[in-house]
Amino acid sequence: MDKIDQQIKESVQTYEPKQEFVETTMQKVETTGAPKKRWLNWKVLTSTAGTVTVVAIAIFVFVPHSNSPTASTTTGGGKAGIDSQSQTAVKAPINPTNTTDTALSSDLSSVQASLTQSLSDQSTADNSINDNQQQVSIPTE
Amino acid sequence: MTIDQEKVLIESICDGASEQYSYFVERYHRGLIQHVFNFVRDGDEAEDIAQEAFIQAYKKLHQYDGKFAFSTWLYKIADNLARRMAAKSGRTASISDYEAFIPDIRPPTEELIDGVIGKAHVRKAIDRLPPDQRRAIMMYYWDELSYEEIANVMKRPVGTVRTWLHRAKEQLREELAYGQN
Repeated sequence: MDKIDQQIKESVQTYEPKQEFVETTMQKVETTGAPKKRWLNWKVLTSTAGTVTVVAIAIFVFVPHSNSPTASTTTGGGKAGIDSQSQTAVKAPINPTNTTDTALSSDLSSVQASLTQSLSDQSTADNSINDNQQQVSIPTE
Repeated sequence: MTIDQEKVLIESICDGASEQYSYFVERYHRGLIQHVFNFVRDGDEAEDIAQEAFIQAYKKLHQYDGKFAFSTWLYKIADNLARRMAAKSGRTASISDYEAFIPDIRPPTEELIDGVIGKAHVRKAIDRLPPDQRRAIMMYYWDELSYEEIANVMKRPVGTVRTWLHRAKEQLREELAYGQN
């Protein structure tokens, strides 16, 4: 310790408090009334927060989400899984192995042809129904 | 008793065991009265302020967060009370505060050799320090608080307290060396 530290430390002017100080202070404390209750009890707060978190996780995991993609198609966690799902959703009608523009164009053409054929079949079916309706119609006279 | 044990005791006082508060009064009253006495330099006034600090601490016991020792929190309350009372009585600073920058040109005397007078000389030199530096010196050397505890009591960063103590020591070193040569 430095000399100046020693000098400062030794310069303290000690004061001896009155003997009845503790007694009179406690008397005043007793007449003051009980201190306020703690509104923030850490034990209660942390246990409540823990319970709320567990319930929230349980709801999130076990309640089915109508808008969410099916969990079985997810191959990874987090963002990667979602990207993977969206890619699967887009590529599913097309051949996922073709990645070039030509291949995509070819796939689109085949889909278009398929749709046209489907519409044509639908039209044929409608005509057939109309014919059948005409055949079963009962003459008014 | 550790800080954690004191926290448990405070919990039980808050739950209604008010008589257990006597532990804190018995344990800390000497240090607290001495702390206030260093500031006000009057025994009766120091006791009144210390008593009021104990009562206020008891009333606000639910606000004690346990970050620092109970004693530090108590000192903070007493410190605020002492300053408020000093301000109310118009005694915001002692005359010696204004002499802080006036060099002491008194010649060294034979009396300085005497230990008692020597201590009084150091105390007078401490009185001449700027108020914040003086309080920091008192808490560090006389109340034996750490830098962190002083910073908490005075509501200032630890770095500021360190600077105050350094400057105060330098000024005291100069003044005391001058007085002794």
